[in-house]
Amino acid sequence: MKREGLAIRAISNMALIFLAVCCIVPFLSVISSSLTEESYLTRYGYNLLPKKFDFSAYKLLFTNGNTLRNAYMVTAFVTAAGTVGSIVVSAQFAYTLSRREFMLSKFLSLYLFITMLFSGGMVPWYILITRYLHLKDSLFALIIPCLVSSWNIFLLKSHFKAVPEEVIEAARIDGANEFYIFYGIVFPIAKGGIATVAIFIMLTFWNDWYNNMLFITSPEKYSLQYMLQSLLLKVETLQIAQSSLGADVGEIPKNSIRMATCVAAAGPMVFVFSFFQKYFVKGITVGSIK
Amino acid sequence: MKKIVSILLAASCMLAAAALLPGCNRQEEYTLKWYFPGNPTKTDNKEVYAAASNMIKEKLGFGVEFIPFELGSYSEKMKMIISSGEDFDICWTSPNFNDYKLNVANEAFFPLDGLLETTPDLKNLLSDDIWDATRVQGEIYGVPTQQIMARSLAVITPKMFYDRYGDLLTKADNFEELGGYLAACTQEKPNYAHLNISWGDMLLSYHMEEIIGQKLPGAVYVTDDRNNIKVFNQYDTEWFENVMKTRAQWTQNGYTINALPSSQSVKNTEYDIPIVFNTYKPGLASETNYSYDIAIEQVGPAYLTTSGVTATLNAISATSKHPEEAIKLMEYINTDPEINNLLVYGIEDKHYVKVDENTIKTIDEEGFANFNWVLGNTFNLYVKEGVEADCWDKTKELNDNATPSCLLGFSADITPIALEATNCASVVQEYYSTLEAGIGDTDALIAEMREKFKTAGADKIIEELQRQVDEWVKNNR
Repeated sequence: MKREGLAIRAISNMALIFLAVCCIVPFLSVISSSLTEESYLTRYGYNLLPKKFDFSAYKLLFTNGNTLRNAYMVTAFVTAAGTVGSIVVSAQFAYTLSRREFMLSKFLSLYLFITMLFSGGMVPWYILITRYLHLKDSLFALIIPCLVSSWNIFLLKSHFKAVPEEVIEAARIDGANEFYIFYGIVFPIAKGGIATVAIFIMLTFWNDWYNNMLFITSPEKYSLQYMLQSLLLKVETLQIAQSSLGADVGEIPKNSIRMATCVAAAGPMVFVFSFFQKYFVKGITVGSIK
Repeated sequence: MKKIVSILLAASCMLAAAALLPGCNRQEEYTLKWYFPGNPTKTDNKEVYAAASNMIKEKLGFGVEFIPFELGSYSEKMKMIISSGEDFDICWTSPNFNDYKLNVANEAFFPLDGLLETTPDLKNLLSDDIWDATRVQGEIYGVPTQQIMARSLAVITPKMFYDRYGDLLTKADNFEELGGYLAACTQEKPNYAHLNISWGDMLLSYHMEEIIGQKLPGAVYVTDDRNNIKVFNQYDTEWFENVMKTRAQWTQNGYTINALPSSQSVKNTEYDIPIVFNTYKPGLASETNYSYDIAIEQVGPAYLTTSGVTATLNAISATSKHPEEAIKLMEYINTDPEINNLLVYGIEDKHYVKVDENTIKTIDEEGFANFNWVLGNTFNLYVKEGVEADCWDKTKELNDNATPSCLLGFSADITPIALEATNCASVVQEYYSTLEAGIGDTDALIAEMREKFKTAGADKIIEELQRQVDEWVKNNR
């Protein structure tokens, strides 16, 4: 009996270790290549440990850059404003859905669910944002389209459902209004679940480059991820352009710079993630018991 | 309450004023919008484009908003802008970026034949052959940028070899005849050269043209009679076997190193790729950066092909409210050196200094720089220091003397054969680099490759292309 347990544990541990290695190795190799001198990279390829330490990529990245600082500011602002805004909107939406006595809750749930299955399509969406909301080249174009996600709302709804109805009734008898019941009582109780959803939202905002590419034209509003994306795209387009146009397109960004930008873009999230981890695990298990 | 009312009043007043303002002088005030691939992150963009807009305003009476996008995201951005029906005037287009033919098929562009009648200077800038190459269903939809349009094979080689054996290069007329030159170089440094071959241009040295590009099956002899054009699979020919055998022979003789070429970025170290094949154009030497002196020689004839002519075009949007003005604007930029230079090099003494009448030296490329092949006539531009002074004259001569391909004006629609094209591309990728490096058993590799082409559907590609070519010939007679 005991031995069997050991075998199972060994196998599952091995599997987990394998998965962990699969996740960590590429990231390590990115970090190491960002620290390797360029000529060593072309000659020996990517290694887990830098063959020759060299910080010039980072030096170039940070000194060359108002652009990088700007991009950090943009990403930080969009992520912060987006996460707060999205949590407020989604939590209020989810809370009303979770209350049984709310007449429209069934209808609104269905309405929300339909948007999960069908979307309006790219072009109408683009037209809505540029022509009706006039958000072209505005930072709000990076925030507003991602504010509401049906998936997050359903996740939050299940967290709010876990709050006993008696608590809400008791609060009402004590004379609390709906607003206070939500922000003073239900919100703190569901904190764990909200934190989980918050980190999902945060990652969405942090990693988004597509909206930036579509809507932003002035370079001082480039986000970190879009900067990285265009750096990588440059290499590809350069090759197409050279073969199809026979034209000079400029210099290829060096490998180490690309990797350094990658680290700069991913770094902060790694820290945030480890900080949120305790909520994260709790939030997921709370959701799964139901 | 009173306060709220007064605020509302103030707000509505402001709104009314805002609505009135553009209303007053709607008749004369408007700006055209021009999207193109460039460098949106340059620090002085605003200043230069404002200066350009003012210059245009003085001449033509309206301003222009120049909006550069990164080339990498250009296609995607334009796709949304065009399909959302946004109101703009001019955009840059090409077969590979912001697909010219697809946009024409979607009726996104304004037909230009009528408009070009009003701008004879623009029309006369380019020969009828060139205008015809931009026609889709008989109509012109794009203004080609005057630049290198003729396509031919170029050899880039270290100057130290060229100085001694250059005459052997000059004698060579196609790819295989380069063997003599390689042999001579080898006497000095055996097993030294990497060959980096540009496939399409190599075909041109044998008077052949790829139809759907990028090494895919489907080629014609550019010299075919226009009424009897035959599409064939270039990989199925004896010619292909011969070339590849010659290539393998070079490796065996020790002309080239016996390994796969390494990544492109190595080209700056002295010990790699001393011999590169590329599209020939005057001034190429100054655009490449090698750590040693290089020489460039054109090998074989130059041809005018559809892809060469339509490589860079500017089109007027179907949503444009001012197409007549847009074509005038293009005429102005294509014929006036001052505005053209401003848009490519920036402001004199700030971004560049003049070395002499036609030569400049850039001093602040971080502040401003643009691709010279996007907005207008490159032949009117200053030449950068270090480039041959007669670079543009030579380019013009090359364009003028290039023989038009029998397929000039035709471009294939690959949608019905997209699957086969993808399959064949992966077959080519599998064998190509080995064959290109001249290593391995050439006969066996070619046999294997042909076998795989059969299952990949190469025959279907050839059939479909032949059908499209025949139809095109019929419609254009």
